[in-house]
Amino acid sequence: MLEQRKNQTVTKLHEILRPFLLRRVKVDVLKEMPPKKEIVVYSGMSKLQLGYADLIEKGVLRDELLRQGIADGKNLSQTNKMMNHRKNVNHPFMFGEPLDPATGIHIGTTYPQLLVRASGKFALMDRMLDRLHKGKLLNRLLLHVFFCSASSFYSRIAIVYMRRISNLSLSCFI
Amino acid sequence: MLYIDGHQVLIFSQMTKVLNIIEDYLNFRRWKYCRIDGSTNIDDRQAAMDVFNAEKTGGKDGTRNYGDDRYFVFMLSTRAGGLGINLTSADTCIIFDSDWNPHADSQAMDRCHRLGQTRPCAIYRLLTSNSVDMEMMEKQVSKKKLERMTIAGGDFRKAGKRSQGEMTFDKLQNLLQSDIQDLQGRGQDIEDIKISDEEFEMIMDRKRLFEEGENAIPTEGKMYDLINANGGDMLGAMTT
Repeated sequence: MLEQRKNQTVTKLHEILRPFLLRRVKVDVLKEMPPKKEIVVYSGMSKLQLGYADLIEKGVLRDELLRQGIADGKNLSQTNKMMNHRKNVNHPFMFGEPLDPATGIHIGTTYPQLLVRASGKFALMDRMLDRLHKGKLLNRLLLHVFFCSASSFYSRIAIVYMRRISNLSLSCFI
Repeated sequence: MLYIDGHQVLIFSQMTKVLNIIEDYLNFRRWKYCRIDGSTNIDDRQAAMDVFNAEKTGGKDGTRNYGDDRYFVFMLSTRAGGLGINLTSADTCIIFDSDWNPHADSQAMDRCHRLGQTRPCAIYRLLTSNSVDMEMMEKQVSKKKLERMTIAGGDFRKAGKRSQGEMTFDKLQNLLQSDIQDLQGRGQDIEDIKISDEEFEMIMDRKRLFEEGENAIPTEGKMYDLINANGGDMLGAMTT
């Protein structure tokens, strides 16, 4: 009964809106548009992020940051836990980047790998960008040989190589 | 001819400070990039867009520039760079952190998926499991459900066309179905912390990703979810 009432409400709403609304969706208008796919990809948290999340919950992140010598921590507001969690999952260095004890400059400058490893999402993005920049390994290898073949000798090798790879790829992909 | 990918990527974030960190990272990788946020002035915006889109014809003989020296990344803040601008040279979009408003993100990804796009587009939305990211995504999903029920469910595609029949309970249930199934149960195990090489390759290989029918990749992986983009089609099928 309740369900039926709810259904009727929605139908009624549509009737009221109908004279005022015209909705065009991209697939209706642009038929030759290439397709789009959205993918949600999940990542974990780094040890640092897990630690920070704990400190945010306890409300003592600021003290800990200052104790670690991260001066940016002194302006941190601890009242808005939600915002601090959002910053933390994006990158823990949002609260200030630790300094390298040896040189006294930002640690990410000396050890860029740490910049990546400090955040789970960042590490995932690094992996994706690396893959996107390279493209497919097989194809790259082929093109490398193809473009590097300056002399005729090498170009002959390249052609043999190409043929071999294309056979390989045929068997791989079909 | 075998093909190389030559992807160009848009990266969106809510926070300009995140963009600063990504900028440091890109410098370290020595990849060329552009950036637009709220503090970029109009001239610089246009210049950045032009130089990025020029890669479409930036290669030899006026073809796409597939080389390593291409402008690889365009960083934008979702609110400042998400509207109006044209970056169809890119075919990939990474949403580093989601907006509370699902349509801010859809607008953002439409910077590349719009008129002038010639390649299939992949949008990757990054979420940290068991975190505030999930909470935000749940809010997005519930907002989208409401929109589907009120607007998409009404099928307002033709002006003044009468609705075909009443909204039944089944139709309503269909509309309220979530894009992502059980968001809660994601990445509970420690081993799930990183997406496996197999799944990763599945979603990153453009050809594989757009495979249809039997060879299509599963809509639900251990560490990824394909968003049901056919919401519109589903509704179309329902009303006829």
